[in-house]
Amino acid sequence: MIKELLQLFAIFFKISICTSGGGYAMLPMFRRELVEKYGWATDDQILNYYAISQSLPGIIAVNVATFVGYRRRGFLGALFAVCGIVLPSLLIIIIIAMFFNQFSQYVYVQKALLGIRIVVASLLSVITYGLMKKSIKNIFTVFVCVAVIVAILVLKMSPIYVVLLSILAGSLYWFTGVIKDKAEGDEHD
Amino acid sequence: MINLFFVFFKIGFFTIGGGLAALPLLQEAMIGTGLITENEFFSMFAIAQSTPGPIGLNMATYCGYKVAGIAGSVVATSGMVAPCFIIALVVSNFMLHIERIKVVQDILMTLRAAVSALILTVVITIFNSSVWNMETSTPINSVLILKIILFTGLIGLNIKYKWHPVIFLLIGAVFGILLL
Repeated sequence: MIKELLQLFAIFFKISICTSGGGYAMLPMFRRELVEKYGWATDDQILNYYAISQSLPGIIAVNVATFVGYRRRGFLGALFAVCGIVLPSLLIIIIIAMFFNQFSQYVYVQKALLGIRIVVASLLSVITYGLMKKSIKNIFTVFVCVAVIVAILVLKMSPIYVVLLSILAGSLYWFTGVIKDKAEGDEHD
Repeated sequence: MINLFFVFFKIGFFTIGGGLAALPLLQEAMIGTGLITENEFFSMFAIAQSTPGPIGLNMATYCGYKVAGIAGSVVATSGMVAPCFIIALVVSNFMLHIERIKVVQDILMTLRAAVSALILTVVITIFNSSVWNMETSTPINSVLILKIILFTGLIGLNIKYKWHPVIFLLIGAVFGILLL
Protein backbone atom coordinates (compact mmCIF):
# COMPACT_ATOMS: atom_id res chain seq x y z
CA MET A 1 0.00 0.00 0.00
CA ILE A 2 2.65 2.49 1.10
CA LYS A 3 4.84 1.40 -1.77
CA GLU A 4 2.13 2.15 -4.30
CA LEU A 5 1.36 5.52 -2.71
CA LEU A 6 5.01 6.49 -2.96
CA GLN A 7 5.03 5.24 -6.53
CA LEU A 8 2.03 7.46 -7.34
CA PHE A 9 3.82 10.40 -5.77
CA ALA A 10 7.04 9.66 -7.69
CA ILE A 11 5.32 9.30 -11.07
CA PHE A 12 3.39 12.54 -10.81
CA PHE A 13 6.45 14.34 -9.45
CA LYS A 14 8.33 13.17 -12.51
CA ILE A 15 5.55 14.22 -14.89
CA SER A 16 5.37 17.66 -13.30
CA ILE A 17 9.11 18.32 -13.25
CA CYS A 18 9.65 17.08 -16.81
CA THR A 19 7.13 19.36 -18.50
CA SER A 20 6.83 23.09 -18.76
CA GLY A 21 4.17 25.20 -20.36
CA GLY A 22 1.15 24.07 -18.40
CA GLY A 23 -1.42 21.30 -18.33
CA TYR A 24 -1.82 20.80 -22.08
CA ALA A 25 1.91 20.25 -22.50
CA MET A 26 1.67 17.44 -19.94
CA LEU A 27 -0.70 15.29 -22.00
CA PRO A 28 2.02 13.36 -23.90
CA MET A 29 3.88 12.82 -20.62
CA PHE A 30 0.73 11.50 -18.92
CA ARG A 31 0.24 9.09 -21.79
CA ARG A 32 3.82 7.82 -21.76
CA GLU A 33 3.92 7.20 -18.01
CA LEU A 34 0.37 6.11 -17.23
CA VAL A 35 -0.67 4.32 -20.40
CA GLU A 36 2.52 2.92 -21.89
CA LYS A 37 4.74 2.37 -18.87
CA TYR A 38 2.41 1.42 -16.04
CA GLY A 39 -0.84 0.52 -17.77
CA TRP A 40 -2.77 2.38 -15.08
CA ALA A 41 -5.09 4.04 -17.56
CA THR A 42 -6.09 3.65 -21.19
CA ASP A 43 -5.70 6.27 -23.88
CA ASP A 44 -9.44 6.86 -23.83
CA GLN A 45 -9.45 7.32 -20.07
CA ILE A 46 -6.71 9.94 -20.21
CA LEU A 47 -8.56 11.86 -22.93
CA ASN A 48 -11.77 11.64 -20.92
CA TYR A 49 -9.99 12.94 -17.83
CA TYR A 50 -8.75 15.85 -19.90
CA ALA A 51 -12.20 16.58 -21.28
CA ILE A 52 -13.72 16.51 -17.81
CA SER A 53 -10.92 18.60 -16.30
CA GLN A 54 -11.46 21.30 -18.86
CA SER A 55 -14.95 21.82 -17.57
CA LEU A 56 -14.13 21.60 -13.87
CA PRO A 57 -12.73 24.34 -11.68
CA GLY A 58 -9.02 24.20 -11.13
CA ILE A 59 -5.77 23.30 -12.78
CA ILE A 60 -5.99 20.51 -15.34
CA ALA A 61 -2.91 18.61 -14.16
CA VAL A 62 -4.22 18.59 -10.59
CA ASN A 63 -7.57 17.25 -11.72
CA VAL A 64 -6.01 14.47 -13.78
CA ALA A 65 -3.72 13.52 -10.86
CA THR A 66 -6.73 13.40 -8.54
CA PHE A 67 -8.67 11.12 -10.91
CA VAL A 68 -5.81 8.68 -11.47
CA GLY A 69 -4.69 8.64 -7.82
CA TYR A 70 -8.25 8.11 -6.60
CA ARG A 71 -8.80 5.24 -9.01
CA ARG A 72 -5.64 3.47 -7.87
CA ARG A 73 -5.74 3.97 -4.12
CA GLY A 74 -8.74 6.02 -3.05
CA PHE A 75 -8.43 9.29 -1.17
CA LEU A 76 -4.81 8.77 -0.08
CA GLY A 77 -3.83 7.85 -3.62
CA ALA A 78 -5.33 11.11 -4.89
CA LEU A 79 -3.55 13.06 -2.17
CA PHE A 80 -0.13 11.57 -2.94
CA ALA A 81 -0.57 12.07 -6.69
CA VAL A 82 -1.54 15.73 -6.22
CA CYS A 83 1.41 16.32 -3.88
CA GLY A 84 3.65 14.91 -6.60
CA ILE A 85 2.27 17.41 -9.12
CA VAL A 86 2.48 20.36 -6.73
CA LEU A 87 5.92 19.87 -5.18
CA PRO A 88 8.12 20.73 -8.21
CA SER A 89 6.26 24.03 -8.66
CA LEU A 90 6.68 24.90 -5.01
CA LEU A 91 10.39 24.06 -4.83
CA ILE A 92 11.47 25.63 -8.11
CA ILE A 93 9.40 28.80 -7.84
CA ILE A 94 10.37 29.43 -4.21
CA ILE A 95 14.04 29.24 -5.19
CA ILE A 96 13.49 31.59 -8.14
CA ALA A 97 11.43 33.98 -6.00
CA MET A 98 14.20 34.16 -3.39
CA PHE A 99 16.70 35.38 -5.98
CA PHE A 100 14.34 37.31 -8.24
CA ASN A 101 14.24 40.46 -6.11
CA GLN A 102 18.02 40.69 -5.92
CA PHE A 103 18.44 40.10 -9.65
CA SER A 104 15.75 42.51 -10.71
CA GLN A 105 17.75 45.43 -9.23
CA TYR A 106 20.25 45.29 -12.10
CA VAL A 107 19.62 47.56 -15.08
CA TYR A 108 20.40 44.83 -17.62
CA VAL A 109 18.00 42.43 -15.95
CA GLN A 110 15.30 45.09 -16.06
CA LYS A 111 15.94 45.65 -19.76
CA ALA A 112 15.86 41.91 -20.41
CA LEU A 113 12.54 41.69 -18.55
CA LEU A 114 11.08 44.49 -20.70
CA GLY A 115 12.00 42.48 -23.80
CA ILE A 116 10.64 39.29 -22.26
CA ARG A 117 7.29 40.95 -21.71
CA ILE A 118 6.95 41.54 -25.44
CA VAL A 119 7.61 37.82 -25.91
CA VAL A 120 4.97 36.95 -23.31
CA ALA A 121 2.47 39.17 -25.11
CA SER A 122 3.10 37.43 -28.42
CA LEU A 123 3.16 33.87 -27.02
CA LEU A 124 -0.07 34.50 -25.15
CA SER A 125 -1.65 36.01 -28.29
CA VAL A 126 -1.05 32.74 -30.13
CA ILE A 127 -2.49 30.70 -27.25
CA THR A 128 -5.52 32.99 -27.04
CA TYR A 129 -6.10 32.76 -30.78
CA GLY A 130 -6.18 28.96 -30.45
CA LEU A 131 -8.60 29.13 -27.53
CA MET A 132 -10.92 31.53 -29.36
CA LYS A 133 -10.90 29.44 -32.51
CA LYS A 134 -12.02 26.44 -30.48
CA SER A 135 -14.57 28.22 -28.31
CA ILE A 136 -16.34 30.53 -30.76
CA LYS A 137 -18.90 28.38 -32.51
CA ASN A 138 -21.93 30.54 -33.20
CA ILE A 139 -23.36 34.07 -32.95
CA PHE A 140 -24.13 33.57 -29.27
CA THR A 141 -20.50 32.81 -28.35
CA VAL A 142 -19.34 35.83 -30.39
CA PHE A 143 -21.76 37.93 -28.33
CA VAL A 144 -20.41 36.40 -25.09
CA CYS A 145 -16.82 37.27 -26.04
CA VAL A 146 -17.68 40.86 -26.90
CA ALA A 147 -19.71 41.24 -23.71
CA VAL A 148 -16.85 39.89 -21.58
CA ILE A 149 -14.32 42.24 -23.17
CA VAL A 150 -16.60 45.24 -22.57
CA ALA A 151 -17.32 44.10 -18.99
CA ILE A 152 -13.61 43.81 -18.14
CA LEU A 153 -12.04 46.69 -20.06
CA VAL A 154 -14.83 49.28 -19.99
CA LEU A 155 -16.92 48.43 -16.93
CA LYS A 156 -13.87 47.13 -14.96
CA MET A 157 -15.90 44.20 -13.70
CA SER A 158 -14.27 41.50 -11.59
CA PRO A 159 -13.49 38.28 -13.55
CA ILE A 160 -15.35 36.32 -10.87
CA TYR A 161 -18.63 38.07 -11.76
CA VAL A 162 -17.87 37.46 -15.41
CA VAL A 163 -17.66 33.71 -14.71
CA LEU A 164 -20.90 33.78 -12.68
CA LEU A 165 -22.76 35.81 -15.33
CA SER A 166 -21.53 33.41 -18.02
CA ILE A 167 -23.07 30.51 -16.13
CA LEU A 168 -26.33 32.48 -16.01
CA ALA A 169 -26.10 33.37 -19.72
CA GLY A 170 -25.44 29.73 -20.62
CA SER A 171 -28.50 28.62 -18.66
CA LEU A 172 -30.66 31.26 -20.38
CA TYR A 173 -29.32 30.14 -23.75
CA TRP A 174 -30.36 26.58 -22.93
CA PHE A 175 -33.76 27.77 -21.69
CA THR A 176 -34.54 29.74 -24.88
CA GLY A 177 -33.52 26.64 -26.84
CA VAL A 178 -36.03 24.57 -24.86
CA ILE A 179 -38.83 27.08 -25.47
CA LYS A 180 -38.02 27.21 -29.18
CA ASP A 181 -38.03 23.42 -29.43
CA LYS A 182 -41.34 23.28 -27.64
CA ALA A 183 -42.89 25.92 -29.93
CA GLU A 184 -41.74 24.00 -32.99
CA GLY A 185 -43.05 20.80 -31.46
CA ASP A 186 -46.47 22.42 -30.93
CA GLU A 187 -46.64 23.56 -34.54
CA HIS A 188 -46.24 20.00 -35.70
CA ASP A 189 -49.12 18.83 -33.47
CA MET B 1 -2.68 33.49 6.43
CA ILE B 2 -6.23 32.14 6.52
CA ASN B 3 -7.18 35.10 4.40
CA LEU B 4 -4.46 34.23 1.87
CA PHE B 5 -5.72 30.66 1.72
CA PHE B 6 -9.24 31.81 0.92
CA VAL B 7 -8.14 34.33 -1.69
CA PHE B 8 -6.48 31.48 -3.57
CA PHE B 9 -9.28 29.05 -2.80
CA LYS B 10 -11.62 31.51 -4.51
CA ILE B 11 -9.27 31.86 -7.47
CA GLY B 12 -8.96 28.07 -7.76
CA PHE B 13 -12.70 27.70 -7.61
CA PHE B 14 -13.40 30.19 -10.39
CA THR B 15 -10.60 28.96 -12.63
CA ILE B 16 -12.42 26.94 -15.24
CA GLY B 17 -10.52 25.36 -18.10
CA GLY B 18 -7.01 25.15 -16.67
CA GLY B 19 -4.29 27.31 -15.18
CA LEU B 20 -4.36 30.02 -17.84
CA ALA B 21 -7.91 30.90 -16.83
CA ALA B 22 -6.49 31.81 -13.41
CA LEU B 23 -4.49 34.60 -15.00
CA PRO B 24 -7.18 37.32 -15.05
CA LEU B 25 -8.23 36.38 -11.49
CA LEU B 26 -4.65 36.48 -10.20
CA GLN B 27 -4.10 39.74 -12.02
CA GLU B 28 -7.05 41.27 -10.21
CA ALA B 29 -6.10 39.85 -6.80
CA MET B 30 -2.40 40.73 -7.02
CA ILE B 31 -2.00 43.84 -9.17
CA GLY B 32 -5.43 45.26 -8.32
CA THR B 33 -4.59 45.26 -4.62
CA GLY B 34 -1.05 46.53 -5.14
CA LEU B 35 0.64 43.40 -3.80
CA ILE B 36 2.68 42.95 -6.97
CA THR B 37 3.55 45.43 -9.70
CA GLU B 38 2.31 44.78 -13.20
CA ASN B 39 5.90 44.56 -14.38
CA GLU B 40 6.77 41.87 -11.86
CA PHE B 41 3.55 39.94 -12.50
CA PHE B 42 4.21 39.53 -16.20
CA SER B 43 7.89 38.77 -15.70
CA MET B 44 6.76 36.06 -13.37
CA PHE B 45 4.30 34.77 -15.93
CA ALA B 46 7.19 34.37 -18.36
CA ILE B 47 9.08 32.38 -15.73
CA ALA B 48 5.99 30.30 -14.84
CA GLN B 49 5.61 29.39 -18.49
CA SER B 50 9.14 28.18 -18.94
CA THR B 51 9.80 26.40 -15.66
CA PRO B 52 8.52 22.89 -14.85
CA GLY B 53 5.09 22.46 -13.33
CA PRO B 54 1.60 23.73 -14.18
CA ILE B 55 1.45 27.48 -14.90
CA GLY B 56 -1.37 28.16 -12.45
CA LEU B 57 0.50 26.51 -9.58
CA ASN B 58 3.74 28.29 -10.42
CA MET B 59 1.92 31.64 -10.35
CA ALA B 60 0.17 30.82 -7.07
CA THR B 61 3.45 29.80 -5.45
CA TYR B 62 5.12 33.03 -6.50
CA CYS B 63 2.24 35.28 -5.46
CA GLY B 64 2.05 33.54 -2.08
CA TYR B 65 5.79 33.98 -1.60
CA LYS B 66 5.48 37.71 -2.29
CA VAL B 67 2.76 38.07 0.32
CA ALA B 68 4.17 35.92 3.14
CA GLY B 69 7.42 34.14 2.24
CA ILE B 70 7.79 30.39 2.02
CA ALA B 71 4.82 29.71 4.30
CA GLY B 72 2.76 32.04 2.11
CA SER B 73 3.65 30.11 -1.02
CA VAL B 74 2.63 26.81 0.58
CA VAL B 75 -0.65 28.32 1.81
CA ALA B 76 -1.46 29.97 -1.53
CA THR B 77 -0.71 26.82 -3.53
CA SER B 78 -2.79 24.66 -1.17
CA GLY B 79 -5.64 27.15 -1.45
CA MET B 80 -5.45 27.00 -5.24
CA VAL B 81 -5.34 23.19 -5.30
CA ALA B 82 -8.03 22.54 -2.66
CA PRO B 83 -11.16 23.35 -4.70
CA CYS B 84 -10.15 21.32 -7.76
CA PHE B 85 -9.02 18.45 -5.56
CA ILE B 86 -12.31 18.33 -3.66
CA ILE B 87 -14.48 18.78 -6.73
CA ALA B 88 -12.51 16.25 -8.78
CA LEU B 89 -12.94 13.70 -5.97
CA VAL B 90 -16.66 14.28 -5.77
CA VAL B 91 -17.51 14.30 -9.45
CA SER B 92 -14.99 11.83 -10.83
CA ASN B 93 -17.56 9.05 -10.76
CA PHE B 94 -20.44 10.67 -12.55
CA MET B 95 -19.02 13.64 -14.48
CA LEU B 96 -19.16 11.82 -17.81
CA HIS B 97 -22.91 11.43 -17.41
CA ILE B 98 -23.43 15.04 -16.36
CA GLU B 99 -21.59 16.22 -19.44
CA ARG B 100 -24.21 14.71 -21.72
CA ILE B 101 -26.96 16.87 -20.23
CA LYS B 102 -27.88 19.69 -22.62
CA VAL B 103 -27.97 22.52 -20.07
CA VAL B 104 -24.46 21.60 -18.82
CA GLN B 105 -23.18 21.58 -22.39
CA ASP B 106 -24.65 25.03 -23.05
CA ILE B 107 -23.16 26.46 -19.85
CA LEU B 108 -19.75 24.98 -20.67
CA MET B 109 -19.88 26.37 -24.18
CA THR B 110 -20.61 29.83 -22.78
CA LEU B 111 -17.88 29.52 -20.15
CA ARG B 112 -15.27 28.48 -22.70
CA ALA B 113 -16.04 31.53 -24.82
CA ALA B 114 -16.03 33.79 -21.74
CA VAL B 115 -12.71 32.42 -20.47
CA SER B 116 -11.01 32.85 -23.82
CA ALA B 117 -12.24 36.45 -23.89
CA LEU B 118 -10.98 36.95 -20.32
CA ILE B 119 -7.53 35.75 -21.36
CA LEU B 120 -7.70 38.08 -24.37
CA THR B 121 -8.15 41.02 -21.98
CA VAL B 122 -4.94 39.93 -20.22
CA VAL B 123 -3.16 39.89 -23.59
CA ILE B 124 -4.41 43.43 -24.21
CA THR B 125 -3.07 44.53 -20.82
CA ILE B 126 0.37 43.05 -21.51
CA PHE B 127 0.40 44.50 -25.01
CA ASN B 128 -0.45 47.94 -23.61
CA SER B 129 2.32 47.82 -21.06
CA SER B 130 5.02 46.20 -23.17
CA VAL B 131 4.58 47.10 -26.82
CA TRP B 132 2.32 50.03 -27.42
CA ASN B 133 -0.02 51.74 -25.01
CA MET B 134 -3.29 52.07 -26.90
CA GLU B 135 -4.85 54.36 -24.31
CA THR B 136 -2.17 57.05 -24.13
CA SER B 137 -0.96 56.20 -27.66
CA THR B 138 2.79 56.48 -27.17
CA PRO B 139 4.45 58.53 -29.94
CA ILE B 140 5.72 56.46 -32.82
CA ASN B 141 9.51 56.15 -32.94
CA SER B 142 12.09 53.64 -34.10
CA VAL B 143 12.02 51.68 -30.82
CA LEU B 144 8.26 51.25 -31.10
CA ILE B 145 8.59 50.00 -34.67
CA LEU B 146 11.25 47.48 -33.55
CA LYS B 147 8.99 46.31 -30.73
CA ILE B 148 6.11 45.76 -33.13
CA ILE B 149 8.39 43.87 -35.52
CA LEU B 150 9.52 41.65 -32.63
CA PHE B 151 5.94 41.13 -31.44
CA THR B 152 4.56 40.13 -34.83
CA GLY B 153 7.71 38.24 -35.82
CA LEU B 154 7.50 36.09 -32.71
CA ILE B 155 3.85 35.33 -33.37
CA GLY B 156 4.84 34.06 -36.80
CA LEU B 157 7.75 32.00 -35.44
CA ASN B 158 5.60 30.56 -32.68
CA ILE B 159 2.93 29.42 -35.12
CA LYS B 160 5.46 27.92 -37.51
CA TYR B 161 7.88 26.29 -35.06
CA LYS B 162 6.93 24.64 -31.78
CA TRP B 163 10.08 25.75 -29.95
CA HIS B 164 10.37 25.62 -26.19
CA PRO B 165 9.18 28.92 -24.65
CA VAL B 166 12.66 29.46 -23.17
CA ILE B 167 14.08 30.03 -26.66
CA PHE B 168 11.54 32.78 -27.35
CA LEU B 169 12.14 34.32 -23.95
CA LEU B 170 15.92 34.40 -24.61
CA ILE B 171 15.28 36.23 -27.89
CA GLY B 172 13.21 38.75 -25.93
CA ALA B 173 15.87 39.14 -23.25
CA VAL B 174 18.61 39.82 -25.81
CA PHE B 175 16.33 42.29 -27.61
CA GLY B 176 15.64 44.08 -24.33
CA ILE B 177 19.30 44.32 -23.31
CA LEU B 178 20.43 45.58 -26.71
CA LEU B 179 17.63 47.96 -27.64
CA LEU B 180 15.43 49.02 -24.72
